Amino acid sequence: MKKNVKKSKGVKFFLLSGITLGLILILIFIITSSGRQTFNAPQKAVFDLVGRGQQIVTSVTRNLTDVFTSYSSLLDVREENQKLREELARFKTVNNEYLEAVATNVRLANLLELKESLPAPTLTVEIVGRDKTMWFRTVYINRGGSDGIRQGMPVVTVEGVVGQILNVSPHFSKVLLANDPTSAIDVLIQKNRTHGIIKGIGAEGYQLHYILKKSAIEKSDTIVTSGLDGVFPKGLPVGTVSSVVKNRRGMFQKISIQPAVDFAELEYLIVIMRENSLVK
Amino acid sequence: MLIGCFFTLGVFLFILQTTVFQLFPPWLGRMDPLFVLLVFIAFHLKIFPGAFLILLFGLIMDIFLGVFSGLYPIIFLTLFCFIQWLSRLIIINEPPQQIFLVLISFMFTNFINFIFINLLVPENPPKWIWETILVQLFMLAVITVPLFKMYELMLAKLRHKKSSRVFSGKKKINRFKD
Repeated sequence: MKKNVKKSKGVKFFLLSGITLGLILILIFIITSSGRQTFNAPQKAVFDLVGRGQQIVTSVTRNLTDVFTSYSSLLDVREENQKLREELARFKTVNNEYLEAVATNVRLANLLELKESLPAPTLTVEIVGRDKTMWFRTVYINRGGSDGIRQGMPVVTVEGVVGQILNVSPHFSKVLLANDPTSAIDVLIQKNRTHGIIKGIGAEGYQLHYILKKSAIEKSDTIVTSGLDGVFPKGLPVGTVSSVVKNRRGMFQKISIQPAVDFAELEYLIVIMRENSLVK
Repeated sequence: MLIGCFFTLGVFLFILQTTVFQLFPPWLGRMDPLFVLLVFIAFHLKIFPGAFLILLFGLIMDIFLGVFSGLYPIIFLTLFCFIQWLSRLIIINEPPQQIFLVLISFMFTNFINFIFINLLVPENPPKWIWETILVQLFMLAVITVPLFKMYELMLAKLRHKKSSRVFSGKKKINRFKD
């Protein structure tokens, strides 16, 4: 009996030692592979498999929500329909004018023999899941490497900057949101072209760093991307200044930024398919 | 069989938490049934299958959550060791002990997470937001007992035990951990 108890204790000790050793090995691995963000083949497979599950659940939930919303808004639909028809007619005219302007622009550019500067192609993607922890800010989208998405590509909405592609599997990708503490973007203050770097601070938005005290910056000033980080094209809206604090000590101001996008309401995103991203 | 069932359940809960739960109001969306499952596994399963499952979940979380590779297997295995140590002190398996175990494990996990992120991103350290933590603790306290009952029922079924007493309302004769 005593022998059995001793044996069992020995096995437990052996297993716990094994787990501890495993922990140490993983810790060594994490330290040595710090900065490595590319998924290996099994990780890609799991990401695709679970991503498929997330896509199905999101699709079902969205359909159910849509049915409910459609039903509740059925009463206003006729009036809204009329309004939309009028708006459509107006936008068709505007669109024709726009197409004409683009055609003229291209003709003139050709005449002037201007090279390049066509905007990069874009891809509209849908969010299928979100990070559940309070420590990180990432979302998962329904397009991946097979659609041409690569690590480091910028992700935006019509409102402004959202983040960048962090990991890619064949059919799904992970997007690091700009308000994640590990995210940093090179930006400009639009009115005086002062450079700074915004870093994510979670739900509160961003903090703008390295703006000297002598630089004139006020509440509601617009912040745009500088294009110098090699990730985001120049001039995309990032946010507006929500508070400026000048401490007595130090060289820089403490500036909080209200993001241009509402991260809680994101559903569809636009990936800018820039091939030569500097971030790998 | 047992490992496969708990693994499938865990993945299903993870999918729910990253999709449907995100549509709920922030406080309700912070329910974490997967965390309760992890604690349950570490508390009830034997060392080898328990550690294997926890490591498996850690590897999956590592793909989806956060930005540092290898972080979640470490955190989850540390949590496993912590619960193994705690389970020697908490030998009674009753609702108050279960809630205590889940809440203290949650605090432990978040503390480890906080320390690691502080070490890995020293230039922009994360904030410890008590408000969010307390809401999560409250939600965990609410869901722990029914989820433990459910997981116990599942475990009993998988081990081919008579499990009718789990939801019968009668006090269990054996109040100690199996």
